[in-house]
Amino acid sequence: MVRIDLKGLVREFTDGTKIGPIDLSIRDGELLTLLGPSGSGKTTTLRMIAGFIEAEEGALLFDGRDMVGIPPRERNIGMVFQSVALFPNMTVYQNIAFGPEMAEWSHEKTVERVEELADLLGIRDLLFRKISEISGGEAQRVGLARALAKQPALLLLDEPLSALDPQLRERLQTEIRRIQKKVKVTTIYVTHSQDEAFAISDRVAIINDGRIEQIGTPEELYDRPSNEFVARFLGSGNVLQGTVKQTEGGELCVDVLGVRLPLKGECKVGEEVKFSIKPEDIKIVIEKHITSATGTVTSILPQVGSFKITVDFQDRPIIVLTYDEELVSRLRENGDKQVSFFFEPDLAVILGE
Amino acid sequence: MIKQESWGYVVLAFPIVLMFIFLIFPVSSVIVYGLMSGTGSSFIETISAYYTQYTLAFTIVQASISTILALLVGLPGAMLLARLRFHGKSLVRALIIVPFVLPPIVVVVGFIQMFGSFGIIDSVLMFLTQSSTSIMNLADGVVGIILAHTFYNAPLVILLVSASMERLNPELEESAEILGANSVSRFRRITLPHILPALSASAILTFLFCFMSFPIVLAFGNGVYRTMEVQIWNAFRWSDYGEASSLALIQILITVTLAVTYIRLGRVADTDSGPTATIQTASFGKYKNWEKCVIVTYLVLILVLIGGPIASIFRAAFFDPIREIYTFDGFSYLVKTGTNGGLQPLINSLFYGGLATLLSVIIGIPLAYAHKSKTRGLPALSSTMVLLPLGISSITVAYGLMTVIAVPTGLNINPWPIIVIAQTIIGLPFTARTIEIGLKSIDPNILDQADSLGASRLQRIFFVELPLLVPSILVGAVFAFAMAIGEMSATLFIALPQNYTLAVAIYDNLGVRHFVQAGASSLVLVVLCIAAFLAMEKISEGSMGGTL
Ligand SMILES: Nc1ncnc2c1ncn2[C@@H]1O[C@H](COP(=O)(O)OP(=O)(O)OP(=O)(O)O)[C@@H](O)[C@H]1O
Ligand SMILES: [Mg+2]
Repeated sequence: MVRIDLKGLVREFTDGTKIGPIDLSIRDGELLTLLGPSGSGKTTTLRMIAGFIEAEEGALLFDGRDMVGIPPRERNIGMVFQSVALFPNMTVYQNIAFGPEMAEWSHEKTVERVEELADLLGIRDLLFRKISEISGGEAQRVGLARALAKQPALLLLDEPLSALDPQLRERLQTEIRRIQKKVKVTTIYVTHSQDEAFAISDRVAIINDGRIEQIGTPEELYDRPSNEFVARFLGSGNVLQGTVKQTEGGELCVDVLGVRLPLKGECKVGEEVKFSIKPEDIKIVIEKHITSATGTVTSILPQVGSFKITVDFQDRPIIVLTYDEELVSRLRENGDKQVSFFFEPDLAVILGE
Repeated sequence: MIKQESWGYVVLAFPIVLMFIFLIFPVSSVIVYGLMSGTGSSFIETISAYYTQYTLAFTIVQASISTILALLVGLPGAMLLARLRFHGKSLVRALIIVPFVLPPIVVVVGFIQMFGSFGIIDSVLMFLTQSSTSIMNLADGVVGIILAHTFYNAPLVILLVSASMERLNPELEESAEILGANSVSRFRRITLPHILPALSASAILTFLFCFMSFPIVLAFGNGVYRTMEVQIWNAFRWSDYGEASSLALIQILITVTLAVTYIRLGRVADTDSGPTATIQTASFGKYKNWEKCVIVTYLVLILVLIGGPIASIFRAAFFDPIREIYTFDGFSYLVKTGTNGGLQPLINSLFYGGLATLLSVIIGIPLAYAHKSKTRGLPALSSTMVLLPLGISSITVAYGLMTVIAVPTGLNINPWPIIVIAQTIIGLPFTARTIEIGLKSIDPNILDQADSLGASRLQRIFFVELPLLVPSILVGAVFAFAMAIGEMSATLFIALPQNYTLAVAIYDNLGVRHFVQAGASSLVLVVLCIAAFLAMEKISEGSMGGTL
């Protein structure tokens, strides 16, 4: 319902902490997640969008309109805070009706809207309870209903589920997703959990140290991390570094700790490159190949539907995922634990800075 | 917890028995005696007298106006203290308690010097208008009473309300803001409901103090304006015991009701402890220009009203407004022996105050333990004992002690022990409460450890708990001392001239217009009280607010 553009937004705190410059576009009706480690600037970014803190530089545009100097209450935003922050002196109904009341909606319209939202979120029975009499999960729903009551054009959610137990969290993720699609509100969702981000988002923006590292769909980010931070943060890759020894029509031969590995990409001979390779794309064989990399198996952990094998490659842990039970039992019997591993050149991703 | 041994009961019961003997028994019997004996007016005569009704009405009206004014002055201060970011905030917070520990009679002296005839403000006005006669005297009559009460209680409002405001989760206000509430609706719908318990509690406390106010009304009322408290004293002086007892009864009914309401509210306020996380504060520069003007105006007002009288006490010690000269007469008075000298009152103050402090601690410790006891009824009984002196006025306490204890025992010839007892009783709520808070904050793990090491209960108390309690006992002791040396009401009621304390001597000197003598004595009390206060701050490191 609204398109948001952040153009070089910068906020510097008095103690010198600098967030930004942040460039980010959120498309009309999409759910974009800001994903990053603690202290990376997610909340700060969100609060700049809401208008609680001013940006020192850059522009914030809602549908192309500059938001400088417009107070939060006039930005047509719904927000669920990290602490949910329901008004403790009011009932559930009064909480949800607060926004419409402030906008001076008619009583009938307000009641209708509150009931509609209560049905949508399954909290009809709670409407006349006090805030101290509802559970954490219910409070999240009430918070969401309150944020949606005035039909905001933009919904901001700051780690709304972080305080809940994993099962409830998963259920509410699906619910938020369903409701967001239903009311088609442009949404920015903040979390530091990769699983949550991937489960809920249309697109994910990875933020680190006050800067956006990469934006894309979950698949794009997972398959094609653009730099080392993203690769490591998403846990999608083993990151290795080496020197390009040979190039031939986009095929490279890279020297990694004395072992030559084939890659694909546009690089010059002599260049240092970093690349990531996903655990499931690495193959292990017990027979030794002189040409391929070798290492020692240090652990085999069974996981849901697969095994996670750690191979020590010249003091660097390489994570490998395999579904091959026969291989695993042979590895377990294998005395010296020495294995060779290799991967298809086009499955490795060359990382930028 | 292990079962209380019998010696434990003796120790815990000891302060309660003492309170029965020296507070409940004297007060209740003096009331009954006064009403029954037929000396003076009867209860019916008293309450139907126009004069009583006028006094009661005046007491209530002045207390109400003072309360409203204290709230009006205090509320902006509370908001500023909670929301404005500035250096030295903890210092300001500590300083705000200072008016509260100053003796009322000293405040009277400061007020006369600041707002009275030939006071600082009057001098400035006289200079501006080139007048040779006094232009303005605010330290007199109803205005003086109400201003002094505001001086006393606005800081209380600031302290209690700002503490509550800081417990408000800032995200609540932000939620309201993003839902479209402007600053007025945010305050009305979110902030105000949150601070309401603290606001009501401070209002009740203020009303209670103003209702029972004695020295300020006595000094500024000139006998024309009287509160119940002043009238009880008067009736006693004219030997109208019937009237004194009737008034005391009416007063107790009102004040105890208020005190109980205050405690109830306190319980509610205790439970709402939101996340203290990031309190949203803004530095001065962030405010709009008109807001800056308002803030500066307010600060100037506060400085004049609250800082002014305190600072003026220094001038009062040297400046004689009658002769309009600076002099050291006040200090030579303080070292003068004999009936007209200030040395005896000074010694009396320190001696009685010291004894009362000792007694407060001795009674306060078991009282605090009784509060924690698992024995049914004991905590309730002990907390009633602690709170009763808050609801029973100093004059009533003195009236009871004089009539029921001093006269039959012949102590009325030289009633100094009665003064010490009265001062102990009046300071006890603060001492016991401080120790009780200290007791609550002892980590139970440490005590469990002592238990598992096989310490007997007696050993545990002496070697584990008491050392941990030392800071709060010290704070309680200093509190008791400050209260005792500043106490004037009960002391004036009981004392014969040879028993005058410095506080009473100040009142006496004011009466005969010996202003520098009163000023110098006040300065001594201020210095003692501020020293006491600094000691408390040092020991408790800024956690004083909880005692109130
Ligand atoms: N008011 C402030 N003053 C100074 N520094 C601040 C302030 N607010 C935030 N910061 C700093 O800015 C950085 C980003 O903070 P922010 O709250 O945006 O992180 P976050 O990504 O939301 O982290 P989390 O996941 O822990 O909530 C942190 O280093 C933080 O210490
Ligand atoms: Mg955050």
